[in-house]
Amino acid sequence: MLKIAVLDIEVVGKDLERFLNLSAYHGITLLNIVKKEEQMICSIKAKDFFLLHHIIHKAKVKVRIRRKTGWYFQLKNIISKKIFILFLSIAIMIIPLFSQFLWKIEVDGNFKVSTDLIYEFLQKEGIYYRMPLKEIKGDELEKKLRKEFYDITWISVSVEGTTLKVRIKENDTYNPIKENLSQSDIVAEKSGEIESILVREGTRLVSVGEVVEKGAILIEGVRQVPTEDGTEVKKIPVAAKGDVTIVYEIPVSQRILLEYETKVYSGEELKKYILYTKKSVVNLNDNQLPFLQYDYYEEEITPYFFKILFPDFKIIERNYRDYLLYREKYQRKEAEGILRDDFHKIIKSLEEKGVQIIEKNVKIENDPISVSLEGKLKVREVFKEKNYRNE
Amino acid sequence: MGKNYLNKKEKIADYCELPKDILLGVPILSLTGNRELRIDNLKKVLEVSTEQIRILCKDYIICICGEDLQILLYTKDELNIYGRIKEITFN
Repeated sequence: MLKIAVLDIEVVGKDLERFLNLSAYHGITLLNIVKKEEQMICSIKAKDFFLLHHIIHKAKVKVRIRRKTGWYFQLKNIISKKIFILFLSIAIMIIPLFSQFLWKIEVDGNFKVSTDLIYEFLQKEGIYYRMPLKEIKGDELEKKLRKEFYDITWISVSVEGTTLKVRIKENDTYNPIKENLSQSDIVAEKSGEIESILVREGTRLVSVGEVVEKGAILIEGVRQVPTEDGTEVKKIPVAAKGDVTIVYEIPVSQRILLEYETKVYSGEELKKYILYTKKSVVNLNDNQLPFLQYDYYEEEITPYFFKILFPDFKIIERNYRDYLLYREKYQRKEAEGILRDDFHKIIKSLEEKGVQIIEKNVKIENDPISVSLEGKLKVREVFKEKNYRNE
Repeated sequence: MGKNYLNKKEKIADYCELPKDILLGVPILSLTGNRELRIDNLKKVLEVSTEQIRILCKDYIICICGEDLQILLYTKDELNIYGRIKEITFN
């Protein structure tokens, strides 16, 4: 039960039962009554306390307040503090003033056009945090946004409270970018030997068996059409389409030192607070670190209110951890196992990218201080129409 | 005379199918285990201590004996007792 205002009282006298009965008779509710000899402790609602006056007189008892509980008294205590009143009055004055400015921008409903892009555009248009709300012209912004981003089919810019809400609906129909490109080429992403080439659109510039360098144009985005008399060839820009398979080698080199150092944390930590501003970094507690060897991790602890007021400021808590370095040694088999695992990870990541492995020419080599994995992977990769040279 | 009067009231209550506590003003005791007792329709508290609480009702005195007895709530119509109740007697 939420206590509003309850008093714990102590009643002393000879006829305490009379006090109880009179209280009950006058509609005063008494709670948690414990009587010990000539003393009785009970709770009473604060508003009933003033009704006790004549009952005390009749029952010839003495009443003393032991404790005041309930949120009414707590609030009263707080209010009695001058600082609280000062802050409260400042807050009351500041809130209407602050509500005249823009504190938040919300973008909703965007999938293709990123939120950052919209923020960037708004910034260009002179919309920034803490700007006066009356300077925001929603209709103009809507028009400009629609003009800037083709994918937006419907847009609403409105100011709600101190928030600028940008609601967007985008064009759902599939409209690949390549359709918009007037000309594009298929480019070699890797240096290697051409194994096969299939041209669907454009002009091939390389042939099977040819070795190409990274960045070389494989299929040019040009369609060659001979003129009617056959004397000239007309070049029409197109988006190149086709599949080019390139065989190339990937060098693999991994080395593990048998002796290695490991960190053992002592458990001692030290916190430092850093204030990052746009131009400078300020150490809030510039204590000397008592650790010989340490590392640290950072955590942003900027209060939400502070973030809104000063978006360029960041408070970082940096936790320094003391550690000692210990030298440890791998067993050869253990080191080989680690290298094999790493090698499998490389192969897996290549396969996930659609690269086909033709040949693995890799071996593990041992020397007195390390174990290494050296070799080459021969792979096959198909390059399709995804690299464009937009002109 | 008193008995006859009571009997008459009881008969009326039975006949009208009315709760007897309303018509006769007899106390209602609700006991929860041996820890909590609620008494309605009481007149006044005669004695309070941690071992014994005596309550005057319309026709008799109820005596509650036990250990660590305390009154949780006392209003005009209701009394809640908490503690280790050992004995309830009607005098």
